[in-house]
Amino acid sequence: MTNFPMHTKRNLLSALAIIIAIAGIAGWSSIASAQQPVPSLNLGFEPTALPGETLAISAYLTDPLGNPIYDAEIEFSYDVEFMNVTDSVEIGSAITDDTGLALVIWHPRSDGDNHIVASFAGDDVFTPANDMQVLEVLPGTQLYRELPPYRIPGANVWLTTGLITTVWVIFIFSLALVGWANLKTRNSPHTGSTGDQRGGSDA
Amino acid sequence: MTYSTETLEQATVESMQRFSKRYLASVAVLLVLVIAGAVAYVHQLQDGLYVTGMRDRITWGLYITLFVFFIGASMGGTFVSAALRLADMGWRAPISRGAEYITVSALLTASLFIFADMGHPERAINIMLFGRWESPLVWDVYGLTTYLAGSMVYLYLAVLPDLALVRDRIGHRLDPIRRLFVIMFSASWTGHPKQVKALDTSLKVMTVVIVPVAVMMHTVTSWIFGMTLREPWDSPMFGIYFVVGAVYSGVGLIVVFMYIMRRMNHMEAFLTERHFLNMGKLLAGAGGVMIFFQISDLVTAGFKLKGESALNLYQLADGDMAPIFWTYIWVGLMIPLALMLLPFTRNIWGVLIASVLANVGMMLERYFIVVGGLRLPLNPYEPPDYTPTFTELTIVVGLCSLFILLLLIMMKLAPAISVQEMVETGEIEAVQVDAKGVVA
Repeated sequence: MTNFPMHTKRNLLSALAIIIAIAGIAGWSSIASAQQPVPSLNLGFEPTALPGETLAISAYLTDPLGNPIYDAEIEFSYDVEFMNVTDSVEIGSAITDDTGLALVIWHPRSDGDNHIVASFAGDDVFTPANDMQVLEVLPGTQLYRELPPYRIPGANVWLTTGLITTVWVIFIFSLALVGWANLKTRNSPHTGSTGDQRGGSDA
Repeated sequence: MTYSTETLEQATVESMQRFSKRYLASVAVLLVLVIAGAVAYVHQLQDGLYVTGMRDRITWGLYITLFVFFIGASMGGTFVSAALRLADMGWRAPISRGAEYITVSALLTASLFIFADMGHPERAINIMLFGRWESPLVWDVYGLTTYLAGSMVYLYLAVLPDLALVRDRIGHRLDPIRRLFVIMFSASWTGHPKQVKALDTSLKVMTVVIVPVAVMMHTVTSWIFGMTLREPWDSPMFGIYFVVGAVYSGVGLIVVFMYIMRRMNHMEAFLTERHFLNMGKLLAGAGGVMIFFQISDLVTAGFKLKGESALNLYQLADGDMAPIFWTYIWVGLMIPLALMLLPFTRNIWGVLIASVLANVGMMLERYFIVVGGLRLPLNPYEPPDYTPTFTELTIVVGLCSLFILLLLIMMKLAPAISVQEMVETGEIEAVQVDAKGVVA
């Protein structure tokens, strides 16, 4: 049998104690959770709708015996895909009444299948609960239409940059032209006052 | 007897050497006002834009009003100098230098008004680093820098032979700073035919380029407003409106500058009534187009009275902005036009008064465009109020003083009248004087 040094044994025992403690806490919480009753959440709405139509989305929250759970917050959302990522968009939230009913009003905006989700986050008594149903939004009048970008053929950022650059090059060229002529003739004899050289002088 | 080139050279160059008491007093007063403006700006920088009258709903006030006004003033300079050069109008010769000075000074001042409007001016570089091409503000920044650079190049090319003239004539008598300036910037200009030819080519190219650049600048400035979803600014006419308004106020400002220059430098022989009257015609032309636009705008909006357009018309014609609007219409547009149309006011004084009124009018117009546009609520609230604070007014006065100060300094750095253009256009021959040297 391998003979571990004393400090290694002590370390191993400490690690074992920590693992047992974590497992104990997890086990206790799962037991505690298992002891909580699991509620039932049931979504309800018309299976089909048109874009822009007013749609009532209801959710009933009941305990395992079928008794309504009141004063519980239910969140409603639907799944959307944007740039290859699916995420949920909140429709709204409502508090259940005496009959366990939570109700929100929604106007679906896009046609196709909309996955509507109702969620109860759970509380001290009940565990969380979800329900998902598909709402088919039939093709109809679109509420909004994304216009294609307004494009002028050939006009783009490079053309603008090119234009500005050209103007700046002309500025520099104009200066350089005079500078170059000055440099080339700097040692030429001085020909008199300015006005005289530009012609038309009557001096 | 006609004025000779020699006499012209002497008169213009010598005027640089004269520092009258009035000139020095003006510089001193302006300097004090500029310093006061700088102190107020430091206060604004420390405490933020809260020290101004601008708030969350009126986010642009006097600073942007004056920015637009000075951008417009610069247009007048380009129009008179470059556009009239393109049209080969010789009478512009004694005016063009002043016009070029106004363009550069006005553009520098306008860009400072942008900084005054920024709570964090150190973030200005961000528009270059992170600016989006889709934003008219970015277009404006590129437009302004391009226009400023172009105007400076254009001014430099035009002034180059005159700087050489100063260097050769009175260079040795100038104070060290100006002597250094003149020697440095006159480069090695000797008037050699090759230099003259190169300068002619460069000036022709720049003249052709600078006019569209100026028009582009004013159009882009108008787009800052025109491309914002606000009813009073929502007009495709805004670009043309701004360009014509810019010519109107710019021409007026040049007339005022001409008058001051004439009095200060004793240039009565070169800046004659003929030049004032020609400028008056330009002023009347631009003013007439402005009146036409205004009537067209008011009639179409007033006939339909739809939505926010009706609200805007109400605030201008009968609401809180009415005093400003009607002062603009009558004092800024109608009276200047009348002064130019009536034969007995068609003289130097008439043109001068019309020009001053035109500028007052255009300043009011810029104000009700900027502030009036923002006043119109997007939601059912009462229109907000805007009253410039003392700090704000001090900064505005300081920057306006800086504009005048720059002009006064430029007048002493190079001849205020372009000798080479006077000769080139034959304008010197038009200056008739009697035996005593008095203009006939």
